[in-house]
Amino acid sequence: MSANAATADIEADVISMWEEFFGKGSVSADDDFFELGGNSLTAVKFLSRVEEKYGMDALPPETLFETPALRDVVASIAQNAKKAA
Amino acid sequence: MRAASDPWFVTRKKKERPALRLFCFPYAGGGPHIFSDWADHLPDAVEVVGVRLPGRENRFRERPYRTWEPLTADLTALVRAKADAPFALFGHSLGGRIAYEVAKRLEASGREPARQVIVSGCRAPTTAQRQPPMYSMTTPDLRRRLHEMQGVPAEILRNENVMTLIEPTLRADLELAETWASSPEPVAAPVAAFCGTRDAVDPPAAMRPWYRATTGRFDYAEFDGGHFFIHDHEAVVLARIAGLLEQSIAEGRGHV
Repeated sequence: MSANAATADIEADVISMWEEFFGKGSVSADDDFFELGGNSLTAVKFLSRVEEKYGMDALPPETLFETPALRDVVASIAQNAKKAA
Repeated sequence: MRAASDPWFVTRKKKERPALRLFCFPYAGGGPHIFSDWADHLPDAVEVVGVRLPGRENRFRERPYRTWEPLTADLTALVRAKADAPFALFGHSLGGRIAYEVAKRLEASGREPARQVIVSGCRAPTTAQRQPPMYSMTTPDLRRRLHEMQGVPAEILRNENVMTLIEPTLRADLELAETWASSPEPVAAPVAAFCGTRDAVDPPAAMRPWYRATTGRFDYAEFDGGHFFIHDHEAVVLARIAGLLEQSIAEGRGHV
């Protein structure tokens, strides 16, 4: 699978997780985790879902807190999952 | 990019011409998400605005306030700028102290008093801090205490990395709450004090003296529960708030 395809898959996956968390149907790459209504508890839940699926260090918590746009979160997961592979 | 929302004020249901705007201030470590569905349970004429201080959620990268003067000055100016509707203030614990200080400062600046100030889980200005301060505790002691107080969900407490990220803001908030010393002058706005019957942090005895903090109407209500009774008995608390706000709206109409 190409790197771009992997990133697109991760993006689709994160979009569906955020849509589920926030009960919204139109999450996009521009959206921000905390603008959508995220808080520390939803952050912990999301981080543990990412860990289950993409491994331990795919998304460092500080990345989510400091750059909470979906596109940056996806980039981190794609980057770190690639390193692990 | 989508338009950035207001960093300070989170309004889930904006109202065209609210009869009353209720500013809600969260407890230490909290954010406006605490109040996200309150608008569904309060009178339709009330616009609910959750206040987001720096250092949390999408303001994570900003430095939190640790002293009262700049916090009160900034919040007073921000609340004052939303002058298109009469307003009321609600706050729990740290938020109760903030609500009261903002009410006081707005009055001192010549603005019409708040229609209602609700202080919840928050010792009276004349009552001394009871528990040993948390803001200066070692990290293990602080976490143990947070666990006992049951204010931070266990899932977060268990997550070492996330706790490390949120601890500086939590400490700053606790420092504000625990070093709060209000001036003795009362406000003219009506004050209602809400207390948890089994609250060890701000127990009924520490809250009853709130009656001295207003020259206006004073209400006092106890709710079953500990310091976080507003979550355990949210429906009952919201019904009480709704009653107070309906009364404020009715009184406001009488004045026109």
